[in-house]
Amino acid sequence: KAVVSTQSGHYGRASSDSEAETPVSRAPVRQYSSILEESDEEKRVVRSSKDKRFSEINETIKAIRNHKKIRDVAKVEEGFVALCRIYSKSTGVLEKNGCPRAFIRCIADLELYVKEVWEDKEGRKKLNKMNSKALAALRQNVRKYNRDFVADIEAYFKDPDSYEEVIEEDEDVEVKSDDDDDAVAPSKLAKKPRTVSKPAEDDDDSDDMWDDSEDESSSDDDVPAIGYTAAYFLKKKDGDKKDKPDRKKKAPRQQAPKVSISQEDEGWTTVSGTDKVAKEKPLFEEDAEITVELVNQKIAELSSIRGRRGANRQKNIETFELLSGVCVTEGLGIPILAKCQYYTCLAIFDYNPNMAVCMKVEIWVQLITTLDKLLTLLEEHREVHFIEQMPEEEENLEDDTRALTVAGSILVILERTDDEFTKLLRNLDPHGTEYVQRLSDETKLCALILRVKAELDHRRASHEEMCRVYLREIEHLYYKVDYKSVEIEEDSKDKMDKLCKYIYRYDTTDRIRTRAMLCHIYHHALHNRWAQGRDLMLMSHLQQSISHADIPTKILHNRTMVQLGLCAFRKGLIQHAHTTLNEIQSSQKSKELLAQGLSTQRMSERNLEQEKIEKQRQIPFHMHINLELLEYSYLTCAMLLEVPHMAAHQYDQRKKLSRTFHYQLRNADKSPLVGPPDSMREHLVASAKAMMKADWKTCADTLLAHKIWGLMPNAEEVKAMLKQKIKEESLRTYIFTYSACYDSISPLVLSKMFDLTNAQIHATISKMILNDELKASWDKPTDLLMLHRAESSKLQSLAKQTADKLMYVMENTEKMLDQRGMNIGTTFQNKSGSGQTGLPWQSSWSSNIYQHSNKKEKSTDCDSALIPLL
Amino acid sequence: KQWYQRRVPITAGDPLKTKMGNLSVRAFKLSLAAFQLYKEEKDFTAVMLREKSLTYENLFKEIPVVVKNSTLTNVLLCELDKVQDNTSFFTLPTSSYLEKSMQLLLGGLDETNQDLQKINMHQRAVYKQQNQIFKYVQERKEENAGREKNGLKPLPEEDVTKLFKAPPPVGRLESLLSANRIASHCEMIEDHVKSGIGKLYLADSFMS
Repeated sequence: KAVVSTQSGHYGRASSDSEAETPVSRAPVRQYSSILEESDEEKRVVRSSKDKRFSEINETIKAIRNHKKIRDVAKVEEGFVALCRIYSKSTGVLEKNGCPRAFIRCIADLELYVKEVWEDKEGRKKLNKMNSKALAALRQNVRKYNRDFVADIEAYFKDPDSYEEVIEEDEDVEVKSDDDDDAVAPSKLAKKPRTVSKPAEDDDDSDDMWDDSEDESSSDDDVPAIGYTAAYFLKKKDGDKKDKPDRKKKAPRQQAPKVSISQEDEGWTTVSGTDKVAKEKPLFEEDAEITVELVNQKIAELSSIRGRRGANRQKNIETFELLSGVCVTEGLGIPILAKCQYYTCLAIFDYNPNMAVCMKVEIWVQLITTLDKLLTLLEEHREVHFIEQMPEEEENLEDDTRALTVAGSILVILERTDDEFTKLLRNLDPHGTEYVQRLSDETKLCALILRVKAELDHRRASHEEMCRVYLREIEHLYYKVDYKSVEIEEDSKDKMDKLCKYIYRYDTTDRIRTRAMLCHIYHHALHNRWAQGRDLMLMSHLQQSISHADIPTKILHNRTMVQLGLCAFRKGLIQHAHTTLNEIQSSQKSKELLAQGLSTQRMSERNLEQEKIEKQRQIPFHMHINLELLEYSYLTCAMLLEVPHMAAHQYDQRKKLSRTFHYQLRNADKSPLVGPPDSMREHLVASAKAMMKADWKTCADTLLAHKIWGLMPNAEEVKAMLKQKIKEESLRTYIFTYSACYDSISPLVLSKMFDLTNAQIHATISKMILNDELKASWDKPTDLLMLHRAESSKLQSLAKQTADKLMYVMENTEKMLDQRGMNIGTTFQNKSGSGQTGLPWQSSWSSNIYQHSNKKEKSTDCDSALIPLL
Repeated sequence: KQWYQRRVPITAGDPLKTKMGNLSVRAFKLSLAAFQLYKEEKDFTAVMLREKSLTYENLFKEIPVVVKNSTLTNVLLCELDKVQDNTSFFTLPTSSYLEKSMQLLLGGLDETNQDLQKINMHQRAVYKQQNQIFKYVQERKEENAGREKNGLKPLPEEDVTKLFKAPPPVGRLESLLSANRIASHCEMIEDHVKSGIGKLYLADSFMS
């Protein structure tokens, strides 16, 4: 059926009078496709935007005509709306070329038609409800719409024949203009017998494939903007009958061997657009002059079916590769070769229709090699330029006199490659060997980035592009620890500085600068340059603006903050480390915040959709920050700060520095049996318990026994630092806890107890005195620490607290009673009878409370009596 | 299972006090009213408490504890009596016991406070709902009056309780228990301090 219907166009052109609408609608299709309608689908893509619009309009007009004939007003109206839409969409194109006559004719006819139907009252009554409704709407729409075209329509009514003629002329012109294409066509036709005589199996295979896709494409073809209707087909059938004799006529002209239709189909196959490989080879073999245009056309043809359902993506990649091969063998010049390779990359990107799915490894390798080839090519031939945002028509692929240009951007390809790489890693099992293999590709990728950078630099790319490529380089650099920095002259720090400063200077988009800065800080933090990292972080005011950033940038910010906190920790700046890490750790969502996996406890809180999105944000494994180490560092910080704090403020638990730490402590208290510490948290809790008793040795031993410290860079230094800190904090805890028992303490004893030098003891305690944490003074002659009893004893502070709490109880009780009075005043008295049942326990309860408070007052009385006595 | 079918007494000892030389053992059982309530309802609401006139004071019933020593122990005690010197008469009650009691008291107070807050919240919710119901009834009445004027059938007075679900009542068992706890701690502190105060006054008058 497909074959038959396709020929109707060809035939219709010859006998335009008998079937008026067919030629008109098909006329502007200026492709050699007019011979082979069946490959319409493929060929349409080669048209310029103008042609595309025209053919769209024509399709719609044709549909309207058909519906008009069967009086399906609803469909006509639909078609009209579609037509208006297409027209308004293509005004830009149409302005250049003038309003298509067919369009004017159609709307004018439509107006007449509507009038006719409208006035035919009997006929109108027969219309079903939907149609009559549509008719009214159509009438109104057409009237309104046609007002804009009054002049044109009048001209048409005056001389409708001229319109017809002109259209006919148009057509002829087109046929002529198609001559060069036709020149190709006969050659195709001529070759047909040869293909038929080829080994049958090949053809059969390709034939099957062709048939499948043909069915699809042709059916697609038949549905322009409007759905099927039975009548639509019926009409076609009519056409079929007429066509049949015609085909017989045509057959001899083609001089195809008189074989069955199926064989003829085979013949068509070779020329048709879908089965590219089958078509390509013969096409180029046959055509001795493979020109740049021809290849270019091919590329355009292929690239414009990108993303279509029927397109075979694997084939596409192969075809593009083949094309580049042809370019080399035929010596067509560098630009077209570059273009072929460029499009190969694009086809590879298209291989996966879903953005979320990562590409196959083989495809990835192919991508890398293709990109490599492309870059080598460009390095060798610097005269070829890739220009983004250039219409393809303005490409200059051959003319040596002007600058050789190709539309496209290697930077875009590079960026996508980089993204694909991340995606690939994200989807691999990080503990498998495959992951390591792919990871080794990073060197290649980095090399590619560097080469692209050099290329862009050489070609004097804009600052914006340079910034983009710099950022890519930075993003491959910032998370790597620079072990060799001592040996190599230009270490990564200088490199980072150079790159980032360029971006700071030239970047205009906020995002690239922000990201570069975060990477810079991250890099500083990773290499223990805490002060520089912090200064950069504070000076950039990133923390204020980060809430407006996009999510990946926020994630990078979180990671940077964590790295900065860890850096502070390694440097022994416990307070800073704690405040920096607190935000991330206290939320219990560190996994999500750092994009390092999804925490299982929150499974129920998100649905599948969210999970998918979050999975796409994940950072590849090799960039992960060790969460255990992070948590342990954080908790160690918290312990060092919190234990002395707890000792100092034993009785009011309101001030808490770290909730997470308290949570761990409480959890540990709940466990019925405390064994030797095993997990990371148990180690921590055990050491915290030891520290509370000021037993620094046990504390340090338990804390540092955990093997996770091995993951910390320069672990020995960090351990030594921690030991020192533990001693000091234990000393503080000891003094806070037991100072009430002493009148004076000898620092020598303390020095022995905590294995600290006298000077260190002196410094720590002096600091406490200065900070008003301890009421004491140094007695120089005896070298003793004299403690002053300024603060209240334990019992006194307890009594004070009791008084406070009692106040609360009183307040609450009074509030309750007030409320009850209010209730009675308003609601309950309005409701006769039910007032009392509303609050039945009122009397007994309030008396109850008063008894309570009396009793309590009594107890406070004795407490307050006790305070001066004790 | 057994303990709510029968009123089983529980004994409570005070290790701190015992350590200081005063054996302190007390025994309690649920009062009859509380037991019945518990058996029937298992849910201590304010209404129930009022019906049974149950307060924290009569939640438990204390049973007197009689400690019987063996004859041999009695002999030993008599022997010790002779040895004991009388200077310990003037020692003041230790503060560690007081501290502990105070801490426990504080815990009880915290609980009471929380309970009070809960009750307050509940009350506010009830109050809010009463207002809503009132408003609803009022509106319905007005509407009906309007309809009657227009000669229409009045809308039926729907059951208000169906429309508005009462907020769940606050369980009172916890607050009863914590009140009881506070009371007993107060009592203990009082007992403990009583002798000390007497001694202090005695010493004071001696000094002057």
